[in-house]
Amino acid sequence: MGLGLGLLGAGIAIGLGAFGAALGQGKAIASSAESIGRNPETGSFIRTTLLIGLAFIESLCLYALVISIMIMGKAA
Amino acid sequence: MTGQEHQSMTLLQKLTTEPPMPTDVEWMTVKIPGVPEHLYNFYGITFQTNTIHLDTLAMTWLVMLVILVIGIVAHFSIRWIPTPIQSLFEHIYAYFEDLGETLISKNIDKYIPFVMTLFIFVLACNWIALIPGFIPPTRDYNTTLALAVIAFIGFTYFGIMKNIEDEKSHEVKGIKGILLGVWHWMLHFIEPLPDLWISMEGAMKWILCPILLVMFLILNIIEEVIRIVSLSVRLMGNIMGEHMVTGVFLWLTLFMAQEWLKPMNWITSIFVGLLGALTGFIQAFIFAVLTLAYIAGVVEGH
Repeated sequence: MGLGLGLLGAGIAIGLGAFGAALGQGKAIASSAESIGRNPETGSFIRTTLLIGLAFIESLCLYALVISIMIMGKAA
Repeated sequence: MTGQEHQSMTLLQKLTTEPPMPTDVEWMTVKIPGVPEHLYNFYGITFQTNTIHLDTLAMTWLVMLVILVIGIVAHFSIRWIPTPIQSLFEHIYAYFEDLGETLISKNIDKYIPFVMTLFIFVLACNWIALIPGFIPPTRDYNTTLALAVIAFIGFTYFGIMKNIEDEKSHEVKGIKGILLGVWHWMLHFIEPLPDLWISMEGAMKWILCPILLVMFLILNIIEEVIRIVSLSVRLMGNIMGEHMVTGVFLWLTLFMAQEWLKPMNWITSIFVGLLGALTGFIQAFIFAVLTLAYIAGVVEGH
């Protein structure tokens, strides 16, 4: 029972984390591509800003990954 | 020892039985069902409560050796008309210089070599996993935490030195200049308060500002800690995840697939390996750029 609930919790944790991070990254990439399309000269600056922003969004997903691995270690 | 046995023991037995020593306190040493253990565990030797990860150690030394050899070779083969490889490295350096100019705007020559060192080391650590059988040292949280602490020491040092130099340029010399510089750097930790202090008036100022002082101090210290944690966890999580995904895909195609699919394992290997190369480059780049951005925040502040 405990093992099953733990594994379920780990799965839900990484799933929800990836879900939110994917939505956020998709929005960020969409708007940056749109703005590069409108104004190609600012491309390099926007790309750098985009990469830094993506890193910040992605780190939240990685926290979920670390938490789920810790849960799996406790449960199994 | 089960709970029932423990209850049936006498008090004397309980006192004379030594508690079992924890042989391994590493939090990453876990058992994940369904994944081969060598993909996420480390080979190490344990002294009482401390574990040395031998694979991480060996791979880090290998990376250091490779970088050292490449550095020495590169140092003695600099040409006025660059060879393609020299040109590639010059382009990367110039890219970081441009980035530094947009973020810091002046006197970037001090900061770029530090950032580039971190970049090259992390990149070599990530890309060593492309050779089959080699393990990226950045998969280990100890490595990335050490790198993040180095970055933290770097941008703290640059922040203090910048403030001291500012005092020097205002004709405050000697020990007084150093102390004033350190003081100005420490004001960084209560950041929006000095502006608020100037803009507020009356008795409210004296009631509100001490409370805000404590709050801002705590928030800024937490921010510094979060910087270290997020830098290290981001790198570790990405590389460990990538390494595990590569291994699991290879394992699936080798041992779990239909018989006719097994010779095709090189296809998945190539695709997942390319993805790993991309992830490794982007993570090294982001580590360096974030360090640069933190340096810019410390140096350009106020």
